[in-house]
Amino acid sequence: MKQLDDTELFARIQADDRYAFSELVNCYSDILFRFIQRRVSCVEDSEDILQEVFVSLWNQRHKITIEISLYPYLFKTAKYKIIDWTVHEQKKIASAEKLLASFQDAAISPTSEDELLAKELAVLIDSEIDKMPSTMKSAFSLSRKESMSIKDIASELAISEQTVKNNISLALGWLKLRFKS
Amino acid sequence: MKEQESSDQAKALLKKYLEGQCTAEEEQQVLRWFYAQDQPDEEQLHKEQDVGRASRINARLEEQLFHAPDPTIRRLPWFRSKWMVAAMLVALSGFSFWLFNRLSTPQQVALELAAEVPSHNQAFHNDILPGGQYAKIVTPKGEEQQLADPFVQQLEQAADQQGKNFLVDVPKAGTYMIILEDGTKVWLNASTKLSYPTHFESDQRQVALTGEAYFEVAKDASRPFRINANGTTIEVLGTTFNVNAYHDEVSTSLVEGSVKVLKEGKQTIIKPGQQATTTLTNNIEVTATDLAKNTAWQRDEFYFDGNNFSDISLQIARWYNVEFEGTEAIGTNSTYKGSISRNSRLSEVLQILALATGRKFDIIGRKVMIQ
Repeated sequence: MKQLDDTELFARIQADDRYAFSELVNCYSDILFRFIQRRVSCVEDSEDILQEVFVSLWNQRHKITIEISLYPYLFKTAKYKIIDWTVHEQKKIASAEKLLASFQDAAISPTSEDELLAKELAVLIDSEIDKMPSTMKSAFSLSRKESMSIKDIASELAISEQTVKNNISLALGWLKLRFKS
Repeated sequence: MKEQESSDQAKALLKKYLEGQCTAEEEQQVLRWFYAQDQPDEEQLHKEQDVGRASRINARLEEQLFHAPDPTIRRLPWFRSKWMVAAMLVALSGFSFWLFNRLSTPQQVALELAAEVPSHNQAFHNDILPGGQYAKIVTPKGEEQQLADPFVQQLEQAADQQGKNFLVDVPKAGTYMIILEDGTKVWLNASTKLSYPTHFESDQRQVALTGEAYFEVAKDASRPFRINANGTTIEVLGTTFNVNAYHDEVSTSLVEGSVKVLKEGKQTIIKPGQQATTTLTNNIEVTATDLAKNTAWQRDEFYFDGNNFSDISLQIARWYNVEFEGTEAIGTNSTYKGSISRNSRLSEVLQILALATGRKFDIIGRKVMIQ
């Protein structure tokens, strides 16, 4: 019942293992869907794009090399599909002004795409934390984001240290489940 | 600049990007625009939650890539495009409008729960996808409504419904989360019923449960929250805990706060990390418990830690809506440990159990055969 890491999983996909492929779909569907739906809004279209991303991964599997994680490949594929959808399916681009306006803003120093993507992933994970039951959320955020000790969190939230520990381990389980990687 | 004009200009830029014709500056511009996204609003967050999504996408991929059509899940081509649907509605009569409504209402969702699909693995006749988010609600007037969206919003309530109860009924292979009017959150496991009044009384909040639920009760010192579960009463002010009431022996596991468990005049108070089980002889047994185990279902996991096979097969039968045949071949003396994602296909779960028990399993329709 050990979780395969991305490189092992992908090696099996390259060997045409459909199980491994369906496991990959299980792992990445939720977070990729959120990434897509934030830009596409329509749930049906978002699911169509999600499907296309996985189809493209399967069809390209022999041509792709991955280093540590499949995230960059999957998200960049999703980006192309979303932009393609925007160009071909949207009558009018709602935020066109923003896209054109950013051109004049030469003061901003260039950022790599990986950095932009990492920032977005952090936001997506935060939104997952937001959905946790309230105590779990507070305990987890204080521990991971504010680096508070179990003891300090217990007194801050007026609950026992054991409860804090329980909640943090439940929260880790929750996240692990959502973003197995 | 006119909207249409700037939209066209933006499209031209995006096209250049797709074709790889952008300058470095233009590429930066597109990337910045693409990644500059605001936090999604609440409504959107709710829309995003759908535990059945991964299995639905998997079924669609299987059809598209491996040509193994699954009749219950396939998205019919004419539902695919909004424009086609619109054209169809204009072209056809009221009858087809009715038909369309019928086909696109949550009845489809009901069919998708733990759907039978062709197996990847020759050891199995067929495979079964995991359960998903689904419930049915019966209003005090007796009207039934299917719930496939993640949250039950307070339903419109007529004055004559005062004091009467809603019933949320989660079938086998379903799971659902609801928020009650006081803000209490309840996660319901498969094969579970929860009934609650249209409005809570001023001095208490009373609900009735059979099955299994994880409660996060909103704090309200003036109105205790009481759960009636197969003859056991669980009383709290505001706290988080799991109740397993599939049988008359009811187990309450406390995550935080404190709860009082009552049965036939006896009562006990438990602390976080403890579990109270009411027995058939009307005793209440308190034991230390593994919370990760008792609340695993709520995190979409099967988690076994010394469970025997009969208990394991019950949990699996509930989530995949299947029946086991020949479980008696595996005695109740052996116990098993491990965790399996509830997002797995049934064949994957059975492969793990085959390793653990040394038996062979097969799936035929909705029956699991043990050899």
